[in-house]
Amino acid sequence: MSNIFFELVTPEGILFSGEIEYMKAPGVEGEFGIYPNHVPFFTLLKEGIIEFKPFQQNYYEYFFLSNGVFEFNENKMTILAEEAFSGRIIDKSDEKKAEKEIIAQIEKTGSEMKLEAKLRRVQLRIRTRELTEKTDRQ
Amino acid sequence: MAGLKELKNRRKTIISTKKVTSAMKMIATSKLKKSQDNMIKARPYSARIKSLTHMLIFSDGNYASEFFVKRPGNRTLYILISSDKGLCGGFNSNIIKTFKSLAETSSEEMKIISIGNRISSFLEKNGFDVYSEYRNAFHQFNFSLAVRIGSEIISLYNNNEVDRVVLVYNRFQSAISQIVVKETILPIELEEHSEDYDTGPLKFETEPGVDKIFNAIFPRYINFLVWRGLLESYASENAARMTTMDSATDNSTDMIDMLTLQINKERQAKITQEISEIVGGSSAK
Repeated sequence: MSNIFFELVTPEGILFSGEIEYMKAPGVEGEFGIYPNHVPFFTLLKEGIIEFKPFQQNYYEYFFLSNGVFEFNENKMTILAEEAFSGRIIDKSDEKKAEKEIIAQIEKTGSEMKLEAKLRRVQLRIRTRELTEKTDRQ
Repeated sequence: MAGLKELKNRRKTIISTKKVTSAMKMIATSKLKKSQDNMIKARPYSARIKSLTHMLIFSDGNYASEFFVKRPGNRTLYILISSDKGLCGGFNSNIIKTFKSLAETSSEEMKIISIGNRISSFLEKNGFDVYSEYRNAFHQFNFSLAVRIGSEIISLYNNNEVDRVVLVYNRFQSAISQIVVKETILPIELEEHSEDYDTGPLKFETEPGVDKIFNAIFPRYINFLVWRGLLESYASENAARMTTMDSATDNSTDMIDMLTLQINKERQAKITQEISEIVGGSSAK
């Protein structure tokens, strides 16, 4: 069976590089999954979580992305993201604290687009962390 | 001639100055190492986003984006990058000099975004109108700073308030050499030779349409150019500080040697004088 060679590239470095079996990503036109031998595909990713399974491993990796450019061609896949965090490095207690602060501010000053976006981002990061913890337990 | 005590005080001051400069040199060296690492880490992204942009442009000859059509006007947005702190030799004064000569000679209608305390203070003092400024920009800076600056640039450009965007910063050449560059980032200047890039029609299934992808990728390309400027400038700053502090340390070593020599001479003269006074006194009896 063939695999996908995947690289996650950000301006602050390459965060993942290696063979994977499967990937799920949040496209701007909806979530999609990629298996080996997919047709060449090019799209934009919105803020969200990517999930993939490293080759011959029985766990999943999760990354939070702020946005991304997705490219798949001949089993080579690249995501260019401006910001990305691995679920492994996200500090849950920090994010929880940030979440509380934002919620408190929303209650005080009323809901704003900017605050809502911030809240969504924090919650996505917490989710990334939780997913990573779950896959590590299995 | 200065008294012995005064000389000793002076030497003491210079010894403590030397301690400071050599510590600053060591800090700058380690920061330089880190900022060079960051530049290396940015390279894969740089290569990818460049090839992507070019691939998109060359794949569709009919597509004309706002982002690479030259505009006839002369309203220029200058992004000036300096440092937050001083004591780094000619680093900031070179930026200021470049900007001064631009302001004096060009007939452009200028808009300025200033990054770093040094250039911001200079512009404030000299009464230049600054569109927006970023002070303490380099304290734990990351890509989100580039995104903030980048989106400001894009919105100015898209609202047709500027015709051209130029980045002015110190480009890192080596630890001992940095040069000020004026890089036009908008409209995007295409590289003429397209051999390195795929030029045929896109071999991809795209979602959404190509023009939407165009419009999403160009701002990211701009963000990245700003980021590169920031990284280059930060590495240059640390390199400049390192060499400046190195020569300051050398100079203080020289001065300490000179003062020590002078102190010894002075002391010797004092002893000689005392002896001759004693001898003179005893022979007068």
